[in-house]
Amino acid sequence: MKRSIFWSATAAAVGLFILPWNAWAYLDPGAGSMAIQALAAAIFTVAVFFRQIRNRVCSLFRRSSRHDKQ
Amino acid sequence: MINSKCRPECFSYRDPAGGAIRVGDAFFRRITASGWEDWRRFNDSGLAKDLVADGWLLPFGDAEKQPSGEWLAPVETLDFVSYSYEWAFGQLRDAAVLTLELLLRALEYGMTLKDASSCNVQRHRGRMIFMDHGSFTLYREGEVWAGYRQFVSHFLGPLLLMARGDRRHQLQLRNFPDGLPLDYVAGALPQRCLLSLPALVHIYGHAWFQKRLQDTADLRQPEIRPLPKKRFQILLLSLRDFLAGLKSPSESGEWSDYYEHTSYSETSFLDKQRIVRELCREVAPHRVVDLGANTGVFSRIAAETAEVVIAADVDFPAVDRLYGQLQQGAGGERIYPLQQDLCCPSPGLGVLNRERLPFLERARGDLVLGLALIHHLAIGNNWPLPLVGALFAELAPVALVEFVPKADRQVKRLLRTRRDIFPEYGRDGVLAAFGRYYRRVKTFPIAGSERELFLFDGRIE
Repeated sequence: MKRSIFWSATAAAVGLFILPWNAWAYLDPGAGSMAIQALAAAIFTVAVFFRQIRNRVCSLFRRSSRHDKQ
Repeated sequence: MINSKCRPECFSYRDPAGGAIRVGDAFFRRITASGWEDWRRFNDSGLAKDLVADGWLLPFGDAEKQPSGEWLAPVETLDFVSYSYEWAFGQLRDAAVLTLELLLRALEYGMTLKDASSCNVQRHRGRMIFMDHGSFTLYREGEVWAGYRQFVSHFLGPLLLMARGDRRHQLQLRNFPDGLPLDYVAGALPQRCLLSLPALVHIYGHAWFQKRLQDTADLRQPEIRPLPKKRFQILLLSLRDFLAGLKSPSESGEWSDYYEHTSYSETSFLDKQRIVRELCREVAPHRVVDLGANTGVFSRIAAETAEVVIAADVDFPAVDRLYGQLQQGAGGERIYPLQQDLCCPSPGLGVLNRERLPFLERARGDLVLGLALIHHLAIGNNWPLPLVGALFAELAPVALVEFVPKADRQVKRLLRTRRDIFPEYGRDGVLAAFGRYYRRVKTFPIAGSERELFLFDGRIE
């Protein structure tokens, strides 16, 4: 079982480098637009991560203030 | 058997994998040999069925192989086609959100969208619907989205400019058929947008990357970092949430508060509604064009009898407000709000001037309404009355026109700051001008006012 997971992960990792990142569609995506996507995705992933932390902290405070009122 | 080798439609020619063709009044999706694998995957995966069931995708039938070696699938016909430079703010925003929702759903099925044109989405029976069945292609883990630049140019850039800059920037979409260039958007946005993370990344950063990489003399294929699927989905979700929260500019338009500030008494307004309703029933039109529709009071009345009502107005906030009301309330399925300046209606644009058709060609119907409109054309914009008649005759064989005399407050307002150089503008002048194009006329005085409704009928009895 462990071996199969190892090989699947290895295949996925190798596949990640073999497959082309740029979709050769009929549309020219443009070098700048292709280049910025990974960066934009990383920025928004971090932003979403911090937003989730903020929401959890806020919900904790909200819950405790509700308890205080009760 | 349909000859699919007829001339490709000018509105659908870019993708070698297929396109749309028109045969008479029917539309078909054409699939070439190079597009067949994606089409099969799109159908066999269940994605197509899923999207149609949710009302996100225009219904279509099975593809049949043609002697030419291509496949044709019948597609439900749209009642009316419009373009992003004519849409309400909310309509463009809803089209953007739908495109992203559709892409997120496609990713679940291992597919992606190869483009993100605003032309892929239309208003159809009360909701925005995706109509480019050939946009779906195989997704490969790690690949970047080929339609990203197009999405930003067609949707995000114009919407940001309209919301944060000037609402009228939308009209630039006429000049840039493949979306607004990012350096244009970045230059036209107010500087405070630099503080907005989506604008900073998708517009300013994107424009900077474009300039930096396009100006290079290096002809090698650029090295692109992979975009893992999970991060791609987060990128799309963040874009969707940002766009869904964008609001149209709130300032009141010139005419969107017309009914609140008009000289009409309640009696006159109700009487006008009664006459319009009765005449619509009498004419029984399938398709109505309401020119100067404002926030659509009379478009709604026309929609009680007509299947399709095109509600055109020059005022952006009025169109935005009408679209918003139609989305919230029931009964708006038959109404198509449209921003349209009759002094400069949408022309034929793009390839052979046939990629985007002119407004006057698309809007033709059975009845045209011009309520409290012709004095704006004749006096506000110096149109000779026969030209006003020609406009109506161009659009429909029956016209319902409201005549507003010079004694009316609205006409006095137009003449307040200018010399009256319109001696022909009067009841007789209007009747004579429209009489050139229409055979019969019936007149209906509006109770409690000096205004009248004229029903011009050009049909052969």
